[in-house]
Amino acid sequence: MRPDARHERVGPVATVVEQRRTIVRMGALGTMPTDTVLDRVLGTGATGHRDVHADMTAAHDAAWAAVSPRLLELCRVRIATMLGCEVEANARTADSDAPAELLDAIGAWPTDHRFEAADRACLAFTEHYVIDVASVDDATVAAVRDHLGDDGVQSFVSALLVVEQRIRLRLMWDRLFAAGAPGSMED
Amino acid sequence: MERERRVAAGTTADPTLRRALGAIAASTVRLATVDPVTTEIVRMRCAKHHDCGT
Repeated sequence: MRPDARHERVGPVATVVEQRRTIVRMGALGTMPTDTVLDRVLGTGATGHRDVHADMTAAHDAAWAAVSPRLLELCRVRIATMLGCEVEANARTADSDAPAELLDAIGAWPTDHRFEAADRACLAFTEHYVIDVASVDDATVAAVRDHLGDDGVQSFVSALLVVEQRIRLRLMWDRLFAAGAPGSMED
Repeated sequence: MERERRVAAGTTADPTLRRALGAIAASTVRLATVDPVTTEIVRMRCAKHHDCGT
């Protein structure tokens, strides 16, 4: 597509401002579950991005089907605590089979004997992934591969991307659409 | 930076998950709310962050 043709599809600034006002009027996003936040920002028609919302939902469902829910839940909660997303850190995924006491102690995984070897390998990978994805070293990948196999590593990393992306997006929206936030356009 | 393979050649993620990620990428690329210059700057920044030479 020609760049200028793409420009022609950009809506007027007034439309964007009105979209933001609509989302803000829905109430503070900061305390809502991530599913609700995604629905309010993308799925309500306020921004007209229902296709993105549907694709993100499909990827989320696929991620939880492709990877051990226990491992993904441990990693989701670890990502949430690292990024400071309180709602996600406190949320629990139904039927994940991740013990509540482990989720409550997620920050202690390196020394807590209740975490299994596969948990540790995946959590170490997850921390490295969140901090600096480009510098994840061979040993960290190999440890995950030892437990999940080659295809399992690839699915795990893809699932991690889905989970991390959702948390980062909601954190950004929490701030962007918060009433009274810096740069707020409320009347 | 060149790296050794970390998984065997032909390794793939779960097919449903792989297709779903492709669909997100496609629907995101179709978005036109942000101007092309800003979009390209963000894309390049993300590629650099992820060490993606593609």
